[in-house]
Order: sequence, then C-alpha cells, then structure tokens
Amino acid sequence: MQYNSYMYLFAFLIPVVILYYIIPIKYRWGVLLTASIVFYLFSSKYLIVSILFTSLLVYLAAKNIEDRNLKFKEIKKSLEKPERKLLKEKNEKKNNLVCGLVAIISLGILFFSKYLNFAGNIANSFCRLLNINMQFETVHLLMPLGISFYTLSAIAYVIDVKRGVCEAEKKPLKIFLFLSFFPTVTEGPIERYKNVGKMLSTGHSFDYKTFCFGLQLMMWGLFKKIVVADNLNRYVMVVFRDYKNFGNWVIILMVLVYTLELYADFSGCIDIARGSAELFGIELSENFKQPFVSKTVNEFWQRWNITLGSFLRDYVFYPVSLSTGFQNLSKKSKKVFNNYYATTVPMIFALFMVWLCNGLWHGSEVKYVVYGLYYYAILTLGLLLEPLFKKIFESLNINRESKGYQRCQIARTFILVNIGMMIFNSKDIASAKEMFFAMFKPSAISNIPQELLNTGMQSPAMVLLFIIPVIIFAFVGHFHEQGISIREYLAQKPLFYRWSFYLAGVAVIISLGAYGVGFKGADFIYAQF
Amino acid sequence: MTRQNIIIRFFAFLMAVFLLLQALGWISIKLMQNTNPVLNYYSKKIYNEPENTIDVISIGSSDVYSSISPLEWWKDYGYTGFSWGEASQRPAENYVYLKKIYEKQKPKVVFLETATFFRDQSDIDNINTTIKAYLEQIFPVFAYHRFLWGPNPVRIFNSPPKKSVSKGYFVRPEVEKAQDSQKVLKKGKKIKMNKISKYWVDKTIELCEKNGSKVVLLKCPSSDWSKKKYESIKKYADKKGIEFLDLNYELSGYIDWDNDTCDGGIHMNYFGASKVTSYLGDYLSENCKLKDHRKDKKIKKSWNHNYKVYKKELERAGLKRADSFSAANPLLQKPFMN
Amino acid sequence: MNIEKVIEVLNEVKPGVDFSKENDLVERHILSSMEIVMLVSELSEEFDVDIPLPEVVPENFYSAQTIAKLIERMEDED
Repeated sequence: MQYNSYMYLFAFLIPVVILYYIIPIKYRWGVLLTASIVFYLFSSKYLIVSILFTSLLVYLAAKNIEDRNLKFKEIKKSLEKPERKLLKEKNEKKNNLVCGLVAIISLGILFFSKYLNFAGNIANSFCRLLNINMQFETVHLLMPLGISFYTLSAIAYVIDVKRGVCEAEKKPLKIFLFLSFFPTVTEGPIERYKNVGKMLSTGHSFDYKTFCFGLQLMMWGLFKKIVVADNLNRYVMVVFRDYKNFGNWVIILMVLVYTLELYADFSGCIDIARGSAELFGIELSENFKQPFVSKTVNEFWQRWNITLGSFLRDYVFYPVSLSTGFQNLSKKSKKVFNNYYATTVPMIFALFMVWLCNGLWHGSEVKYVVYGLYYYAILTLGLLLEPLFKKIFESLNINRESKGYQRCQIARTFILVNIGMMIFNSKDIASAKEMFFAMFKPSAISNIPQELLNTGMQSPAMVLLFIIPVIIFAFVGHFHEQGISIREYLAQKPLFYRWSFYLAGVAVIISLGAYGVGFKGADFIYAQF
Repeated sequence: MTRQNIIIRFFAFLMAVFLLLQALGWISIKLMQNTNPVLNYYSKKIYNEPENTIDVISIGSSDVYSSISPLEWWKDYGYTGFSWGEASQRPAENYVYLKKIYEKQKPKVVFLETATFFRDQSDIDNINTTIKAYLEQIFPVFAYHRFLWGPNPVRIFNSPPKKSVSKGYFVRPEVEKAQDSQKVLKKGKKIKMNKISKYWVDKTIELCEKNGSKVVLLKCPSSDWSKKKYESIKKYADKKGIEFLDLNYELSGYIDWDNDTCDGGIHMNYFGASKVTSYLGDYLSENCKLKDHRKDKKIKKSWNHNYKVYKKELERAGLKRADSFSAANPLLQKPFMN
Repeated sequence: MNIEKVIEVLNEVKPGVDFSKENDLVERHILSSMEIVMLVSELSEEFDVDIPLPEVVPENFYSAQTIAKLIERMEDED
C-alpha cells in the first residue's frame, strides 16, 4: 500500500486516526498494532511470518542479555574483585555471542530473500571461469515488505540493550509494533528503540497543534512525491534508457534532474511517513537535513538518508575502527608511518566495511556495490591525500576557512554526489560508464531544444517543472539551515493566511500532480530496497 | 482551544476544501472541450446526450474508444451507440460509470470489454480503484485535473460542442505494424480474476440485467491478450450464461496486423476499427432487435449532422471508410452460434 | 586541568577551530565520524583511559567541556 495511494490516505489512515482517538488512552497502542498488522498483511500476506519471527528473536535475545546483566548486578557485591572481573568478561562474551547470533540469523533471512540470486549469479560466473560444470538456478522469491529497514532496526535494538543504552522491552508485541509500525515499515526512517519505543506504546491524547503539523507535513510530502518526483520521472527515464540518443548537455541536465527526483521521492515519502506518525502524536527521526549544502561527501551522508548513515556509523564504523585489534594495529604502524597515517589505518578498513554494506543494502546488483565503493574511494583518497592538500593550500596561501573556499567545497561535493546518483540509476555498470564518458563529449547547443522535445517535454514551459521545485526547495532549505521553522512561522499567522496557504497547497497537488488517467504513478524508489 | 471549537474549525476547513475541489472540477470539465470535433471523444460527454436515446453502450478501456465507432452503425443500420472508454479502466469503474449512465439512458445492449477484468491483480489495486471511482464521481477534478494545465484557458468562456461528435470514438489514423511475435495470440500464464474484480464484474452484469439490457462480454482485437485469459473469461461467461465475443478469435485472419494497428498490436487504428465496428454492427442486426432511428424525428437531425462532420474530418485526414466488411467476409454470412 | 589538554588534542586532530568556544561539534558537522575515531584513539592514548563504544555518542562530544567530563568519568571507573 503506497503512502500516496487513495487506499492509504482515505480508506486506511482516516479510519485508523478516528479509531485511535475514540479508544481509551491505555489501549491506543493496540490500534497502531492492529493497523500495522493490517497494513503488512495487505502488502505481503503470509510473509508477515518473517517480521514476526525477527521480532520474537530480538525480543528473546534482548531479554536474555538483560537478565544476565541484572543477575550480575545482584551478585556483584558479594564477589571479590578478580572474580567479579572474570564473571563480567564471561557475561560479556555470552552477550556478544547472542548479538552475533541475532545478527547472523536476521541478516541471513535478509540475505536469503534479497541476495540469493545475486550470490548465485556470482557463483555461476566463477564456475564458468573455472570451467566447472555447475549452475545455480534463479529462484523467484518475494521479499517481505521493508525487510531491509526493519532488520537494521532489530539488530540495533539488541546491540543497544547489550551496550546498556536501552532497556529490554517486556512485552513482545511492543517490539513487533516497533518493527512493523506502518509509517516506517516501507521506507524508514530506520528507528532506534530507545528513541521511539516508549512513544509508540504509550497512548497520546489529541493535540491540535501536533495534529495540524502532521497534516501539513503529509501535504508537503505529497507535493514532493506526486507533483515533483512523479512528473519528472518519465523524462528522466527516457534519457537514462536511451542515453545514446542524447547529447552531453541533455544527459548532464537529466542526471541533475534525477538527483532532484530522487530527493523529492525519498524525502517526500519520509515526510508523508513522519506526518502520518505525527497524527498519532509520535515524532519520528529526521532522515534529511538539506543534503545539498554539504561541504564533504561524509557530511552529505550525515544529511541524506541520515538514519542509514548513523546506523552504519554506530554499528559498523565505530565498532570496527575502535576495536582493540585495529587500535593496536594503529599503534604499531606508528613506528613505520608518521602519526597521521597510523591513525587512518583502522579507518580505511572500517570505511570499506561501511561502504560495502551501504552499497549492498541498496540492492543486490553489481552497480550498487560499485556505488558504495565509489564513495569509499572518494573518502579514502581524501584521507590519504589530506597532508598533501594541506601543504598545497598552505604554499598557495589559500584560507580553507574562507567563505569562497567553502562554496567550492559545496560545489565539488554536489558534483561528486550527482555522479553517484548516475551510477545508482543506470541500468548496469557498463551503461553507467558509457553515460559518464558521454557527459564529456560536447554536442551542439542548438540540438538541445529538439532533444528535450524527444524526452517528451512538449513545450519549453515544462522546464519550469524542475526549475520551480529547485527554487522552492532552496528557499525552504535556506530557512531550515538558519534554524527557522517554517511550520512555527505559519502557525503564528492569522487563520485567513494559513487557510489560504493550505488551500493553495491542496489545489497545487490536485491539479498539477502526476496521477490518474494516462499516468502510472511510479513506485517509491526506496521501497524496493 | 475547546474541543467544540476544534470540531467547528475542522468542518469549516473541510467545507472549504470541498468547495475548492468542486470549483476545480467545474473548470477542468470546461477546459476538457477540445475544439477539434473528432478529438472531442471524452467518455463523460455521454451525460450530455438527450434522455433515452442511446441503444448500445460499449464500455471498457482504451480498446473501446480505439476500436468501436458508433456513427458507422448509424450510417448502416440507424442504431444509436456510444463508446465509453477511459485509459486503463478497471472493473469498479465499469460499474460506477454504468450506474451513472443508467440514470439517463436505457440501453438495450451493453458490450463489456474484458481487458478491464484482469487489470487489477491485487486487493490493494482493486480497493484503490474502487475509491478512485467513487471519489471521481463526487469530485470530477480527480479524473480531469490534467486538463487544468491545458494550453488554452480561454475555453472556459467560449463553449465548443458539449457533445461528442464521434460518440466517444477516437480516430487513430497512424499505422505501426505489429511484430511477428505479437501477431499470434500468446498462450500466457494461468490467470484468474481477482476476487474483488470479480465482485465488481458480477455487480455490473447484475446492474445491466436489472435494467433490461443484454450484456455481451467483448474483447477487441489486441496483442495484449492471451489464450489463458480467453479461457478464463469463457468459463466465467458460460457460468453466467452470457455471450462472450473474443474478436481475437472471431476476426482471426481478417485483422491485418501489418496495417490495422496504430501501436504495434496493442490498439486498433482507423482501419482495424472499421472492421471491428462492422462486425459488431452485423452482430447487433442479427441478434438484437434494435430500432432503426434514421426516421426518428427527435434525433435524426443531430446524428446525421454528426455523421457529416465526422466524415468530413476523416476525409481531411485522408481516411476513407473501408468497404463494407460483412460483404467481403464469408464468415459473417453464417448465423451466430452459442 | 583536563580541558586545556583536551583542546590541545582536538586541535591536533582538527586544526583551525577554536574549540574553547565551539559547541555542538557533531550536529554542526565540525567533527566528522572519522575525526571522532582519530580523536578517541588520541584521547585514550593521551589520558590512558578506555572509551567504550556506548560512550561514543554525539552528547559526549558536544564540546570540549563534555569531552573532558567524559574522560574524568572514564578515569573514575577504572
């Protein structure tokens, strides 16, 4: 059930909201639970067993870890120091084992439903290479809804309990609600239990302001999705499919437009999800914070799909780079390299893990692996060349803190990100490569109007389809970057202005949206992951 | 704010949204008029036809407006027909639209296009369609919003023809021959109507029969069809005791897949449409006792006029009416079976 | 006092920032996750403390003061 479908908006969300507020506060989380089950059953039918199983697994694992820790606390005082230390280490080992098991099992399910064919294909090409007569059949498996998202939330929950930053939940159904909560289950944000667990399972009384903010956010998300992303989709599709028929200027333009489309599509979906949750008084994490003002690629990933980036940071990057093994390696390398390079050694390994995971998470295709490793290459080169850059800039007397230099950084990051997006959306690696080189073969400027016509843009006015959204996003982003909340600003305006603004929004979405006869609304791009 | 205030404010806002949508709907319908008479084929125009004047309604998706030209029946037999086709129409929509049509018309025959039956395969899609169909009845802007950004806003003020000259038929003169693989009907995968789709098809048939119309299931020639689909519908039709004309079979050998399709086999062009139309005309004259309206004083003037305009536009596009199909086709000489 | 030493280490990792004044180091993208890793390993060497993973969170790296407090806490626990 897509968040921008008639069914979700009219037949699902409205009844759930009404039901939520007429039922006594104590039982309100039950409404959310039932709604999430219904939502899941409609989308994935019997595959609900997969998410049920994962919920039960992490519930038991977390409980097991917490029980052991509590028992330790109880008998701690009665033990001598060396004994205490020994028991602590033993417990730590057991906890790690439980976490490892949870990760292996839940990632195993993910692997089985998402990567089996990918692994099969790789094995097949190896066999061909080695002349072994063996062939893995392609199996058609259905993927449980949101498995890439809830698996990560599930693993994060168990690790957080082990780390002591989050208490284990006593009711298994609440864990199930946390993992299957219908606004987050299709495309995230990938939530942490310590942030939303309590909020989900306690009832909220009706709050006028929060409710209106929720509706507002949903409207903004619908605008991004149906008016911006879906309208752009078909032109982008044409150019990415038949890039050979287009000159470099149109290809460059459409790569930029695709970045805009993906941003509008993904952040629009997150806005609808967060807005839906706000209708119930639940505040979800932000997943986007003006990604295109990032000065470095690393910063970009702290502003784009934030919850994925922070998951990989907290559960892959830090643990690997700060592990005793790598820290010792770093200390040893200090004898060989200078201080700077020695500290980067663990990072170069950890970053590899992060970006391999990031690429694979997006999909089981070679291009996604390349997509992840593309960012890895940029970050590692940046790390390794940093001392060199430092010298160059010092000798040229360029101030790296100046506004001008920072603007250049933003432009550079933007270009790098767009190349990444091009890899992300091309059919495969070969066409990504061809498209990349095609961008540098200058074509006649006079061809541009005809080529734009060939993409399906019937009149020059349709260029406004991407110019106006860019202006709007830049405007909104500018205020958010200054820390000015547009919602609060609007809320303080007199009723007449507010209503005119909302009605204008409704009119824009309904009259300019790409839906209905002649449009096949595109699926949310991130829902496939 | 008190609870009462919130409720009042909430309903006031809903009212404002309601009025806004109605206004947008009104404008979009106004802008929908196309000044080219034969491009003015929108299905909704059937509501502007005088009461009880349409005897044959063909309803379905793009196959209907591409393949059936009711004015040809008028010329040959004096039958009054209308083709209702909306791009990728679905079962719930068939029902909702027909129900509205029955408010003003009492058709004797309804051709129900079966491509619509398989379009929604999941429950989610079907529920979406159902909501969409009813929502569009209340707020037409949901159906016609794309006309709001048409190039000519002046059309709100000058009113081009309210009725469809070609009675819902869309002339498609282009020829794009079908690929070899598309000329023969595919076997296809085993397929079943979704249960919600089936519910709406049942209801549609019931609605027609209750209103005294004869229902005929129809599949216009199209490569977007399969043997398995045919078998599935055939079984359904037999169970219901109604007729099913699959023109992929009935006209096999007579549709020229090199010349009769406008988009490589999916839809009929003008030449294909004239074959389908004349076949169905023969069918109507042999199997249904329909009235010849050519002497009917109330409507003959306007229908003759429409035919003249339609004819003129065809000539301008360089299209001639194909020779009477039935005369050239021995298959059609024998009486219909089943 | 710890805090001067902390600022010294911070400047070693990221020169050109006045850490005695800056707040919200992580949220405002002054310290990247890679710089945090460098910082953690430098700090643990400099002060000879273990900074366990659960402590590597934005709240503890909010400013030079919070980092100093974190180190004090870690020293106490040993």
